[in-house]
Amino acid sequence: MSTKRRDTSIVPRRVAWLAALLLAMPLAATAQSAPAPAGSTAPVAMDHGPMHGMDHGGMHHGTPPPAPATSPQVMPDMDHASMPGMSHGQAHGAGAGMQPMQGGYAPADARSGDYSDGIAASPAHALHMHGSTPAGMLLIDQLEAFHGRDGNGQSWEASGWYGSDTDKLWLRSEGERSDGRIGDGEVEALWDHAAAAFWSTQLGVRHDFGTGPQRSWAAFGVQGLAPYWFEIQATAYVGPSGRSAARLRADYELLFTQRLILQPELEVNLHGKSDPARGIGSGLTDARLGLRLRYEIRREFAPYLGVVWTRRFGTTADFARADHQAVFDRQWVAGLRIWF
Amino acid sequence: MLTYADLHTVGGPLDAREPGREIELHLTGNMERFTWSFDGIKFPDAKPIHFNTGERLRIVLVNDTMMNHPIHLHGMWSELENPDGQFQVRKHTINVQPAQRISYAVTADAPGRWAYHCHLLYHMEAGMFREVVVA
Repeated sequence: MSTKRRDTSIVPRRVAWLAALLLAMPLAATAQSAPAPAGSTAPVAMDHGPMHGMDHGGMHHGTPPPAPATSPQVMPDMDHASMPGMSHGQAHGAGAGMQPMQGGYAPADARSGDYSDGIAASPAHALHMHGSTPAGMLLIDQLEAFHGRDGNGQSWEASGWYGSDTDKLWLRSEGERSDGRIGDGEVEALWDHAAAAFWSTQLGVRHDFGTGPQRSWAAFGVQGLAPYWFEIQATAYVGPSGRSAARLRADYELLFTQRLILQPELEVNLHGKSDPARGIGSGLTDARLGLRLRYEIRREFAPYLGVVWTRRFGTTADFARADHQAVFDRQWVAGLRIWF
Repeated sequence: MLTYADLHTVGGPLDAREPGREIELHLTGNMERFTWSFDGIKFPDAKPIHFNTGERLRIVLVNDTMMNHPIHLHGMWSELENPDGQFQVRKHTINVQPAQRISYAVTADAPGRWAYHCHLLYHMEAGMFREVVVA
């Protein structure tokens, strides 16, 4: 991409280019999420529960397909009673909305999962921690040096969590340093609560430091895994003096091999109110697309090289011009991804 | 490739009785959150499974996950059944593949409290574990 083209008229084209790139990612995702190996020793017992509104025109109920000779197990009787939305004769071809493949509630006639007959658990039950031990992780996703038109420096992005399967303390931090001082930095502390199979809600605080006055925000949002393996974070922020902001992040991992991984990452920021002291204008503030190619020497330790395009918009771009900073910048980055 | 169909215990089952009842359990989990359980209930929240002393019963396992789960019942034999419900092979641990449904017969001849769990120990530690009470 040419850095000479700096008039705003090319922005849509650039955005479209980024969008096209992101849309291409699901192709790779499909390849990664291939089904179980074909060498299964038994035919699958399909749990048809979640498949609402299937068109069964081609299926012959009551005559399940014969099992391969190698199989120790027949196709079990299909439990048609537990197939919501499959009232044959009326739902055919209806194409009713697909329900999520996980989560939800059991039907009223589901079998009882309680086989205890009223017998209490062993006194040792509480001693065994299986499933109740808190866990934690610290991921330094980016610890890098950058070289851009605006200058050189270092930047970081890290997150950590500790807690149970459903509730966690979630910490995030990111920022950059150039000319020996921190230009921009922030930390967030959030309560992360598992709200759905692949989604969590987050509630907490954020603090900005670095150049300009410090700012504090209340933060709330969602974080999770969208279909086709996009990691999504969407967070809204509210601060004193009527300040508001929003941030949307999406990232993806494209595995060329089990160790060589390309990570595209897109971040978009919006602000409800101008904050000239920190060089922020209202509206769409900036967008950033990063491409980082890492090699996992160990899962926990991966050096990477990458390129990051940053675009400032609207009043934020005006502030940047006034400060003799680039409105559009491309940075080369090199760094480490480490987790514990 | 070898499968359980290639295993056959000579001499038939230890107990020729037809199972008197069935206990069905689903193997459940979420790889992304790394939560694992039987019937969606992790061990800390789960009640024991009761076998009546001396009874012959059938356990049906349905694997709802995208992972293999080798399931180990302590204290008693697991007599895997073939597609026709006939005795196939006597084992300690029976692997259940993704989306597979298997059944096996158990004779509850060992009174006491026994561990019942996925033998992938990370899954066990995450909650895919139950207590079996023979009484």
